[in-house]
Amino acid sequence: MLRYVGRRVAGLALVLLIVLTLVFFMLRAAPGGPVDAYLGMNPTPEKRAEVEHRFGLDQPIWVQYAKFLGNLASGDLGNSLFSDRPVSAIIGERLPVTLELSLAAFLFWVVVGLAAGALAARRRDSFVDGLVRVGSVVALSIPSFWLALVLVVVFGLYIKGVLPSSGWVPFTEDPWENLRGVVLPAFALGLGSGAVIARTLRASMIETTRADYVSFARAMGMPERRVLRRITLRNAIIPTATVIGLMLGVFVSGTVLVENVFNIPGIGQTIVGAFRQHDYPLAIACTLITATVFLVANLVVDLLYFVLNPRIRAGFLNGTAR
Amino acid sequence: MVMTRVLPRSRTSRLRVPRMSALTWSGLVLLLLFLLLAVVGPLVAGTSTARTGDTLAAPGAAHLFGTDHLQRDLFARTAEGARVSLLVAVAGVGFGLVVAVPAGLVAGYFGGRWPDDLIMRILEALQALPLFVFALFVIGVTGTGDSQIGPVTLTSTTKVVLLLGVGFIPYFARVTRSATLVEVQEDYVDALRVVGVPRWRIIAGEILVNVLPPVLVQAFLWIGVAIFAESALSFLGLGIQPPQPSLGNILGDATGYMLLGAWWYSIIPGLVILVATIGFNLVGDGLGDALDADNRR
Repeated sequence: MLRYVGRRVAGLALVLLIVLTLVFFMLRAAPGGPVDAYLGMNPTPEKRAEVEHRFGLDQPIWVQYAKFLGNLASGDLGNSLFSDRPVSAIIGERLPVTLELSLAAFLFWVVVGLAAGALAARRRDSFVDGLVRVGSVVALSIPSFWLALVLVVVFGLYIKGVLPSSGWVPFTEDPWENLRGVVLPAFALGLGSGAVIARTLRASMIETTRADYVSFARAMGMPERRVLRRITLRNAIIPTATVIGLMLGVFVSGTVLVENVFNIPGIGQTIVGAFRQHDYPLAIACTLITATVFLVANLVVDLLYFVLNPRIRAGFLNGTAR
Repeated sequence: MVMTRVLPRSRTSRLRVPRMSALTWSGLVLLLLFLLLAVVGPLVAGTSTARTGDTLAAPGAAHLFGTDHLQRDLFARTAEGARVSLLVAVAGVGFGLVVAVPAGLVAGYFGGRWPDDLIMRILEALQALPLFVFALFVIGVTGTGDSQIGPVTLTSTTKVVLLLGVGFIPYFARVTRSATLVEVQEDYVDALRVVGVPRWRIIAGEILVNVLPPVLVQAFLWIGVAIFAESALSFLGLGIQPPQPSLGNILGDATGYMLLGAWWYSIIPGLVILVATIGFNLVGDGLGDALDADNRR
């Protein structure tokens, strides 16, 4: 187990390094560099040279690359080319916003998704089941950014004052307004994932009900509620856990879109802005942060497999699992 | 040829017309509606850039879907946008298949040996990248205009197609590989080897035909994903560039006018995306079920 974790963490570090290298060289190879964006129209050659020197852009690319990795390793992400503030400070402000939004969406939709899936599986072929099945197909097909647009139109135009539909109030400033503000974006962000959770749990619960050990438990006279809770749900939760983990990956792109519609100053809005302005250090930092979150989420999901599924765990210890 | 007689399965009629569920039927109806809009719509609607003289007019007899802030008819734009989004999605999926299927076949045929390992490691690295951020990054860096790579000029539309395709490669290749792994175990593959059929002919001629159905079902499902991904990129202004409409960039334009009461501007194009993705999802699920039932028989 430990060896496996070690190997996976090493793999993660390697992929991150590849991502970083790609990011660095693609940014440098791109037309319309930061200096052009920084200087504006018709800069003098002297001014250009001065700015290039200030950002170290006049050094050989390998030196720049080594410096870039070195700085990163020491936690120095450089300054934003636009606001001239440390990138780490900007990220420090924006990341909590995105994390709060993601956490709210995650908690709400995991609970709703699990409840809907379990209910549908228990009352199979009932009206509730039909509702969940059709509802989840529709829900997972709704583009998050369009749902966000619809919510802004509905709550900003027709039922005003119920919930804020744009902007962000920090929690430290006004906790109540902050929580009210997170409702709509979190709803839009997680709907699709909630639907996938419901579908997966329903399908795997129905699948497990057919298993021999469930028939056996019933034949032994175990009460139906207990069968459901102790056996069916426990086994059905394993595939669902994967889906729940993958949700975090979906949020990485989802927050970019939803934050831009609701005008929320999180990482997602920052990343789009940074790319538009050719703000290299900020763009790199944001890409790095999102890639890391994505990779860590995938790793956690894989490790969860071991925790949740005794069979895989046993197989792994015996050396039979790859 | 003598060879074909060794095959245990017939190549034709693997997919019989199956009994479809109500969900699949409704998916088919939605899909046809979308195709009708995307294929026939642009022919009957006139040009998508013409000014009509009405600014932000509500849907009505004159303008079925209303007009936008530049007085353009939104039915014409939505239909044209649907066509563009569909073409981009299909091209993206097609590009992904062209790369992924050979890779998956080779990996599966050599299951567990070095070509398999090499291909799988590359796929894992590709899959470890968050597709959307990757696309955002590449377009953010190369700009939304044309890019010159050597003698080839890539328009913003081509870039979106390529990016979608690259993002899909790991998924398609995995499906191809796992289907191939199963297929290689079949007796007929050994038989072909014994009689001296070259390796590439076994892979390209015999195994390919048998692994295609599950791969194509996956590809079909991913067209819906591609339509969504394209519209998301275009929505952020990083995909299909105006004046060429796409479902995503119409919605992107609409954000500036949604609080002026022009609900149709942001609601209707989004509904079209919704109809398309539900349609592709349901029909894709139905195809998958039919395939499973077929294999069990």
